[in-house]
Amino acid sequence: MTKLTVSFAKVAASLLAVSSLVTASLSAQQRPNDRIPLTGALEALGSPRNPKVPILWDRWYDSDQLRELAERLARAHPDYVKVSSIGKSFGGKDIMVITVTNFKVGDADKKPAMWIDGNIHSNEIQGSEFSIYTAWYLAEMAGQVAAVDTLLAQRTLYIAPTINPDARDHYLKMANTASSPRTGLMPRDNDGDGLIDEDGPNDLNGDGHITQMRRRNPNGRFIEAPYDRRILIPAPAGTKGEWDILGQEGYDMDGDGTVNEDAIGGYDPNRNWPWRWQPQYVQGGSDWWPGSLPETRAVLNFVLKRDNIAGAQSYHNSGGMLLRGPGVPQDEYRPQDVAVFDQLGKAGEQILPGYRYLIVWKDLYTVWGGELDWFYGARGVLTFSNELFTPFLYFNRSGDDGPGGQEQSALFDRLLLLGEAFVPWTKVQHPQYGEIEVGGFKKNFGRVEPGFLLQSDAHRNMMFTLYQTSEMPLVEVDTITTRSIGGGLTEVTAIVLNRKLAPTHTQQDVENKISRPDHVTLSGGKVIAAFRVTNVLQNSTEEQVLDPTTIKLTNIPGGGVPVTVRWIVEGSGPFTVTVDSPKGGSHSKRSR
Amino acid sequence: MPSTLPLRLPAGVFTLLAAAALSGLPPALSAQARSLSAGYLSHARLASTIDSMRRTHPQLLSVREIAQSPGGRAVHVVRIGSGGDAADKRPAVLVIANAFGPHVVSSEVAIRLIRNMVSGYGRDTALKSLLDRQTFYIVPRANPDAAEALFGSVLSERTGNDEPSDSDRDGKLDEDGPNDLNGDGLITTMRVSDPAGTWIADSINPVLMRRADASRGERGRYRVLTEGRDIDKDGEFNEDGPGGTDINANFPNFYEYFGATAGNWPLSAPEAWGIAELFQQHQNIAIAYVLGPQDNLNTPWTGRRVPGIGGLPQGTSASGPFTATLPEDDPWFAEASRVFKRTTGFARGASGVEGKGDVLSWIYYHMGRLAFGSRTWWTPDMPADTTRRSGATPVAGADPLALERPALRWLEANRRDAIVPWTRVEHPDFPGQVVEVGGIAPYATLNPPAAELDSLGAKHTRFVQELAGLLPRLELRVASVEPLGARTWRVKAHVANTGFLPTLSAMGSRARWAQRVRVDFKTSAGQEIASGRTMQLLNPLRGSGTSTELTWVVVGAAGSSVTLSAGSPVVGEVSETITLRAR
Repeated sequence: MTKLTVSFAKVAASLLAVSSLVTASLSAQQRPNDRIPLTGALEALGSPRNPKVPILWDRWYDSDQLRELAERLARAHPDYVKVSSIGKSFGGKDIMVITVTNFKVGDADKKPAMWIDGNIHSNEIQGSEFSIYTAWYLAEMAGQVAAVDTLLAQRTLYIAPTINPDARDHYLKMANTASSPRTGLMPRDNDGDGLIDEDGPNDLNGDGHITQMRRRNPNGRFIEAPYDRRILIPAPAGTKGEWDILGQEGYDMDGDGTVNEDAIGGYDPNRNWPWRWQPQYVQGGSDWWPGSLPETRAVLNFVLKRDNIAGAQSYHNSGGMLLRGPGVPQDEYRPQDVAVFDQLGKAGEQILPGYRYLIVWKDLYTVWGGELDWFYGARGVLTFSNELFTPFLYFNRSGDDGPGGQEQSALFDRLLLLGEAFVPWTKVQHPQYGEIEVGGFKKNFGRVEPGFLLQSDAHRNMMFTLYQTSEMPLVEVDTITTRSIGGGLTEVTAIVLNRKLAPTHTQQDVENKISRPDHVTLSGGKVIAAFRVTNVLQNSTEEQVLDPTTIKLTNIPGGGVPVTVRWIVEGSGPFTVTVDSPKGGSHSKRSR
Repeated sequence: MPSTLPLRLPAGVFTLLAAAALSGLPPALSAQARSLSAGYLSHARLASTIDSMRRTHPQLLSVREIAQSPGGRAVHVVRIGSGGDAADKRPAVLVIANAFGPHVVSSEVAIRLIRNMVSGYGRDTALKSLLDRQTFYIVPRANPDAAEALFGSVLSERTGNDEPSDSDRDGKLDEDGPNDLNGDGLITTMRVSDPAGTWIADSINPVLMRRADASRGERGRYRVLTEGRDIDKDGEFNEDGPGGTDINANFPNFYEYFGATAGNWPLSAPEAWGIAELFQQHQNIAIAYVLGPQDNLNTPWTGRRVPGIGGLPQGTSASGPFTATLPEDDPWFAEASRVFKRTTGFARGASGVEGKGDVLSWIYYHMGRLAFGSRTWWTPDMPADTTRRSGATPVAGADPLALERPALRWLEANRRDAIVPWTRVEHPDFPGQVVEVGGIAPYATLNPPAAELDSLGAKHTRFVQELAGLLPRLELRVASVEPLGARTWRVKAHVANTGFLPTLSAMGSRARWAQRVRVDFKTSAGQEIASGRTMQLLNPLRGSGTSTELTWVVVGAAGSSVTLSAGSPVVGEVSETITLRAR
C-alpha cells in the first residue's frame, strides 16, 4: 500500500509539471512577435496566412485552456467571435459556447445557425480541438477566402467545444484508459451496494495511464504475439500459454471480491436526452431521467430558445463515421429528410476518406435517448455525429479497424511513433495478486489522432460540417410580378425560394409543428385577399382567409423549388415582399 | 375539446346541458363560482395550514420546499415520522396529491391525512407504532399554479402551471384563452346554431348534447366550443390559453411528445422535477400512493406480456420498454385493491384515466416502486331515471352518454347550481348567429362539496395506514453453526421477508434506482472466510415469510464471533452477532 501511495504522489507531481508546460507554451503564443516573422514565406493553402492567434494543433487542451483559446479569439476578432456561458457543469465549470458569425451583418440569433458540440463522452476529446479549430479557421480566414466571408455573413455557428468539461479534465489529468471515463463525474452507485464510486481503477505503476495487468503462469491461456512481443494474444487451440491477463490496472478497494466495479460517475451523457429516453433496463447509462445531467439541460435550454438552429453536429470518437439517426428502429426518420441526409452524407464521404455515412441503430447499435435523435426528433434539426479518427488513417487503407486491427495498431506505433504509444510491461506489487506486470497502450492512442494527423482530421471534419452549414436553408424573394386587374386593384404574385439543399422545415418539423411557419408579408397596399398558388400552370390556389397580409407557408423546400404566393391589393405599388423564416433567414424585395 | 370536462372523459361523450328544462332562469352569478371553491384551501391557506400543523407537532412533522412553480408558489413535502431526521432512514410511504391541477380534492384529502396521523399519534397505539417504524412523505399540492385557478374570479379547469406556452405552436404564447361571455364567473361551453354543425341536444336528457349519428338519420344543428372568443383571429377558439405544463403529463413514462400541456420535455416543469428528486434524496421510499386521475385500486393493474420491437419480449435495448405491468406484480396490486375497498367502503367506481406522462405509472415503471393510485372521489352511482319524458326516444345500441347520465343525475340531486342553463350571448365572431353559453360548471364533477371532505379524509387515512402495514420486513435467522474441523465452521442463515409486499417489485428488480437487500458477513481478527461472500445482494424476496438460505465457511477460533447484517433502505437493517460454536 505504501508503494501505491508513493506512486500516486508521483503522478500528481508529474501532472502538475505537464500542466505547467502547457501553460508555458500558451504564454509563449501570447507573444507572436517572439516568433520567426512570416513575411516572405509562401503561404500554404487552406490555412490562415498570418493568424492573430497562433494555436498549436498537436496537443489536447484542458477545459481552462480551451476557454483561454476561445477568449483570445474573441479578443483578436471581436466582429466575428463572442464567448458566452450557457450554464454550469456539475463541477461548477462554465459550459462555453463560442458564437461565430459576422456580427456586423444581421442579428446573430436570427441567421440560420449551426450547432456544434464536442466531447459529450469524456474520453472522446478531439471534438473540442476540432471545435476550436473551426472557430479559429473561420475567424482567421475572414477576408482571405470569399466563401468564408459569405458564410459568416449569412450564417451563425454556435460552437460548444466541450459539453462535459469536468470529465474532460479527468480524462486528461487522471490515470485513464482510451475509453475512460465515458461518464461525467456525478457520483453514482454502479454496483448496487449502496456505496458510491468506491472501487475505480488504480494507477499501479504511476504513469498516468490505466493499462493492463498480466502475470506469468505456466498454465496461462495467453502468449506473446509473434508479430509484436509486447502484445498478448490467446494461445492457439491445443497449445500451452504462458500468461494470465488480469484485467485493467486496479485492485479490490472495497473488499467485495470484485475489482474496478464502481468507478467515478456511472452514466452515459449521450443516453440522457429527452427523445425516446428509456430507463436503465432498456438503455444502460441513461441515468435517473432525461435531462438529469446539468450539462444536458444547459444545451436543451439554449437550443430551445433558438429556432434559428437548422443544423447540428455532435463530435464523438472513434471509427470514422458520419452518423445520423435514428438510434432505434421504430423511430423512423421522414423520407423527405432522409433524402437530405443522404446528400450531405455522400458529400461527407468524399471530404473524409476512410469515413462512412451510417445510421446509428442499423449500422452501429441501438441508442435510446441520444443527443442527435433529440435534435432531430424534438427540434426537427438535421444532425450528424461524426465518430472522429479511424484506423484507416494509420496506413490510409480500409480494413485496419477490423479483426487483426491490433496488429496494425502495434505496427503503426513501431513505424510511425517509434513505440511511444505503448507503456512497456513493468513489475509491480499488487495488494491482492502479488507480483504482476503492468503495461499496454496509452490512453491517448487508438481513439484519438497522433499529433501529426490531428490538424488534418480536424480540417476535413470541419469542412464537412461547414458544408452542412452552407447547405442550411436560405430564403429569398426571387421575383415579384404585378398585374392591374381594374378597380384600383393589383394582383401581386411573388415567387419565394430556397436554393440550398435543406428545407426551411424538415418533414419532422412540419408534421409536429415544431417551429413556426415561414411568413411572406406584403407591404405597400391594403391586402384584400391572399392565396398560396399550388399549381402555377393550372392556376390552382388555396386562399388564406385570416390575416391575409402575411401568408404562412409550412415549408420552403430546398433545391430552389419555387413557391408562389399571390395577393389582391388595393393600390398600384410599388410593393415590398418580405420572406421571413425561423430557420431560413429573411429577405425583402421591392416590385418595380 | 372544452376544458370543463371531468377527468378528461373519452372524446365524443362529454357532458353538455341543453336549455330546454332550465330556460327562463336568470344567468347565475359568481355565487356559483364561490360555491365551487367554498371550504377548499387556496395556496396561501394551504401553506399556513401546513405551517400551523408543523408548529403544533414539531416532533413528528417537518416541511421542506421541493420546488417553486413558475407562478412563484412553493411546492412542499411534509415528512411525518418520529425522531427527527432518523425518520429518513426508515422505510417510507410517499403520497402525492394534485399533480393534475383541477383535482383539488386530492390536496384536501392529503391535508386531512397529515392531520389525522399527527393528531392520532398520541392516542392510537397502532398509529404510534407505525410512525415509529415508518415514515410518510406527503406532497399535498404538486401543481399549485393550476390548482389556484379554482380560486380565481373566472373559473376554468386549468391543468398547466404558469409557464408561458405556445400550445398551438404559432410562435405566440398564451394568446387565445377562454372568455367568460355570460359573466357568470365560469368557463363552460358554447353552442352555435349552425346547419353545418355536427352536434344535437340529447333526446332522453335534453340537458345533454351529443354528436349527431348520421347512420340513424340524425342531423347536426350546433357547433360546440369552449366558451370564448377567437382572440388571435386564427380560426381556432381558446386553443392557446394561459397554462403551460400539466405536472401530471410531464413525467418520462408514456410521455406524449408535442402534447399541448406536456411541457418542453419530461420533467421540464420544476414541480415535476422536485417530485422526481425525492427519489434521489430518499432511497427509503418503499411504495407510493398517488391521489389523481389514474386508478389502480378500483381496478387493479394486471400484468401482461406484450411483444416488443420485432416481436421480442419487452424489457431490453433491442425490444424496448415495458408497456404493461409485469404479471409477477399482480398479487400486490390485487391485495392493495382489496384493502382499499375494505377500508374506504368504495365498492365501485369508474376506472381511471389512461396516463400520458403521469406520475403514478412513472413511479412504478421508472423508479421501480409499487405505486397505487386512486381518483380519491367521484360522483356516486345514482339510480337510473325511469320517467319517460315526452318526445324522448330510447337510445338504440350503445349509449354514447352512458358515463354522463349518472353524473348528471347526481348533480341534479346534489349540486344543481353547477348546471348552467343555456343563455344567449352576443358573439362578435358569429354575427347574426344564435350563440348560447351553458353546460356543467368546471370542477363540479371532480371535487365534492366541502361537507364531504372530512369523511373522505378519514377513509383515505384508514387505507394509507393499512397499506403501510403491508410493507416488507426483514428477519434474520441463524440456522446452524456446524464445526467441520478444529477451527473450521459452516454457518448457515436465512434471510426472510415477514411482511406482505416483496422486498422489491418485479419492476423494481429491473430498475437501477431501487436497491436490493444487501447482506454483509463481517469477520473479526484472526478469522478467514474459506467460502462465501463478504458482501452480496439478494434477489427480491416475496413476503409472508419467504426466505433465502446463505452459507459461509469460516476459519477461526471457537468462541470468536462474526457479524451478519442484512438490509436495504426500503426494508431497514437487521443484524446479528454469531458465535462460532456448535448450535
